[in-house]
Amino acid sequence: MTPRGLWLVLLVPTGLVGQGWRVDAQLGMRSAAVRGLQVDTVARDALAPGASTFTPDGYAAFCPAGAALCTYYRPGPVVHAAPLQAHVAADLWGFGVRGLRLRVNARHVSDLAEGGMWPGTAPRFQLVEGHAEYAQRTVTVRLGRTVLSSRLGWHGLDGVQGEVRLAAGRMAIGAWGGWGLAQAATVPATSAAVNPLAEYQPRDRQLIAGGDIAWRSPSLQGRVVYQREVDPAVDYFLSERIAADADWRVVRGVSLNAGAEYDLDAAVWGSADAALAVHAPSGAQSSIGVRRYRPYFPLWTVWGAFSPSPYSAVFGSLDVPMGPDVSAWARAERYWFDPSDARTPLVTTEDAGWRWQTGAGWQAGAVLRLEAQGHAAFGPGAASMGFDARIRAAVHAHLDLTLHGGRLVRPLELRYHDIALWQGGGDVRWRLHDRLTATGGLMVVDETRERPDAAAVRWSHLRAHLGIRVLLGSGADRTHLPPAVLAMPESR
Amino acid sequence: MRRLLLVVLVLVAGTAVRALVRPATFDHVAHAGLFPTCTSCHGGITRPDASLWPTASQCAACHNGTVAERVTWTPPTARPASNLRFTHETHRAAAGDTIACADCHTRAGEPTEIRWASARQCVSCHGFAEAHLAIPATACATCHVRLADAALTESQIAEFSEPPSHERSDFGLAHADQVDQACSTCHAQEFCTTCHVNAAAIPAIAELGSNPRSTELAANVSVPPGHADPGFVTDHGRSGSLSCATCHTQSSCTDCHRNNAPPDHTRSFTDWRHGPSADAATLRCATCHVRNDCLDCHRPGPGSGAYHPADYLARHPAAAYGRETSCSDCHNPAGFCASCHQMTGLTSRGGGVLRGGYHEGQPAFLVGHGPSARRSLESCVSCHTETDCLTCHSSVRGRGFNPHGADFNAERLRRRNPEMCIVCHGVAIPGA
Repeated sequence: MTPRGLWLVLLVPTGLVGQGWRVDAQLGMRSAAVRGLQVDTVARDALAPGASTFTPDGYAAFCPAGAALCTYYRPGPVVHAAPLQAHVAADLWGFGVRGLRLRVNARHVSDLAEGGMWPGTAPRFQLVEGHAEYAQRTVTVRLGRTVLSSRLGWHGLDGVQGEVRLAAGRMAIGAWGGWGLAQAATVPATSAAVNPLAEYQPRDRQLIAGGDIAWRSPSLQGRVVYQREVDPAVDYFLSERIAADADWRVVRGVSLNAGAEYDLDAAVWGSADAALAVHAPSGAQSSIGVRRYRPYFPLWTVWGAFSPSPYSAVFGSLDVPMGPDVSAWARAERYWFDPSDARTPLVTTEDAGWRWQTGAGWQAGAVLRLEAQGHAAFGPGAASMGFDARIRAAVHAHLDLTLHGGRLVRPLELRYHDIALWQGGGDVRWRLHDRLTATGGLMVVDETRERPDAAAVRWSHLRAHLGIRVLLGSGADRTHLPPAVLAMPESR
Repeated sequence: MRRLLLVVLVLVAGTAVRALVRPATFDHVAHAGLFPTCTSCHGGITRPDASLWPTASQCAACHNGTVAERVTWTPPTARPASNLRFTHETHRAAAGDTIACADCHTRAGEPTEIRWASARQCVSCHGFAEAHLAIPATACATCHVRLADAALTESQIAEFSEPPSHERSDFGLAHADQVDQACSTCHAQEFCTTCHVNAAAIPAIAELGSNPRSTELAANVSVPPGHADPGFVTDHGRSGSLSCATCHTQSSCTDCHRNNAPPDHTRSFTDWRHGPSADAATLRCATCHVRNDCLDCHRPGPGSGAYHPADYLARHPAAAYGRETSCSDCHNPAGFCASCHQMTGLTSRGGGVLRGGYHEGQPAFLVGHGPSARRSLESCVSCHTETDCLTCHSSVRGRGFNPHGADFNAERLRRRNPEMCIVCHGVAIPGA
């Protein structure tokens, strides 16, 4: 049986064969390891003489006032992970109703290593999207599971989503409603998979509804989104938000992008940003902007009542072509948190932070490309500094090889001293056929935990990944320009 | 003499040429007396199981070299390939005796000169005043099946005539509004894909059905006039419309923009800040990108490895704590963050045990954790449960430390969802 036939047998139930089909199938496996912490206690009386905050075997310990037991963390065991992910995005159409198609975007994820550490592997079968779509030139309706994307984030929905396009496609009005999935997940909020710590969990799935208006003109494009989530068990809001985005081309080469969200539950502005970008005819681009970040929590957790502090930031970026083969880029951001109203004299914390990243790339002929970049960040609770470099060689029209390496220094978990890490490896990408691509790679990670106690360890491990991607279809899925377009002399 | 010779040569040559180009046809006139009914020889007209043609033995009954000269006749083994819905049986069943063979197979006034039925006759009987190719497209299906369902040969398809509607100079670029089921009479998906790279995403094309031989017809496209504008090269990204994807794929963009990025698709844009633009200009993004392009990187849960750099597992603590981007847009904080932290010993399971440690390297961190908690609450909840915090911050089960900030609107939130208030305050919600 041919691969095409095999996929058909696997994917298309008897009696559901359409006139056309397209399948993007990916199979990938990774191997990784992490080493966390292992909490333990020791009797206060057992602390080493002369060093009252260290255990006899040298671990720094924390002794709450009046407690008989002190807590300390020793390096945890090396935990291996080997996630295996099969991902299929399939479309079927031609069922006798013009414009009707079935779309499935699903995956099967499992961790072959003992312990199953890799996140997101439960449940094993995950339906990202699965719906029937009816699309005509001015109307699209989806029925089933779909994913909504907007400034409000990514939300899964089991229900109906529709869009009407007006004014020759320059305006689109959409609406959706149904039962929501958990935030950024493929399972409902009632699933145990999104409650690993046995927290309070809703009994019923939330109802989600919303709508948006998007418009497009050569100089101004924008979108306004409204969305609400309601707990059907008690008819109370879980979230109600509105967001707006606009992209305005002020003059040729200058554009202004801005957007904001508003939380109707708490009556506060959420995250917002505005950026002015300038594109020079030479290809250089610079941007400056301001933004404000406020974390958002729905009302079925108590976290919103803890008044998370937003921060405000200014940022800028610069991308410069330095000749036909060399380009450089840099971006930086400085941010300040709003007053937290929770300051105590016992602990000092940073109120502001910064981060930057800069790099350059050199296209050395048709075969080699070299890139190097450095990055650093420092702020309340967060710091990192490092660099990485890569050499990519297109050794054959269908074969790419990449060598990469880098170094990173960042605080340890719980921010007790630093961790220094070297990594290096190589990747290969081999296009075996127009529709078949294989990838693979190996990376060595050498990690040193720079602590002043016995938890200072150095360990290395190997990470690997293998993958294959197959694009199959019934004839209309082309990856290259068709002959008629290639015959058009200046149209590309 | 020369003139006479020339005339003779012309006559001979003309006769020879006529004999060569004229197909060998059956002389119905000469046989009219022998076979008074058409079905005597063409039994398949009334019987689906019979041949449409007479057998060689039927001819040989007379053409045996004695009664009449021998003839060579091999009847076709199959009915002629066609894209017509027409069959003699169904036509006969529908029309009954109101229509006779001669109505279609003879010219008016020449009842014995048998010929193939012409489209003109079909059109005339079916009540259309226009010429065959000029009748309304909605009527094609009256007589024709879809090309995808027809067993026409390459040469038959290649000989399709072009209808007058296709002769407009802008038809190649402006036929989108006219696409309907009638197109399927002459075209199939494969023909469309010779121009439309996004054919699979266009429902009207998908509905045409498949016939690889449909590419025997050559598509006649021209460069859109807007492409000749002086500013097109620098401005085409801005003015792009959904129709760009008709002819162009992502590769047709990257072929030109590999080293010289589009005005707004710089390294910083693609790596860092394309989100706001994508939110604002979804219709413009759709010019080149399809839904799965976004889902390749931005699918919730375990990623494809395409979004974060190779060493991100090591880099993510600082990146997450710094909140340069919102992790929870793609990762469920509990199902993704907490589940992994739990396996690596970084979570608290609640129950009032806070597992005190050297947060920030400061032994008094617990006492003064307020500022850090408010600034990085998303990081806190990737390890701690609500129960951890309510150990102190609940007015019912805890020590009553107020966690609310200055801008906390208790009354509004209570109206919105008092269940959140009950978690800490019980049923005695202040102000209720």
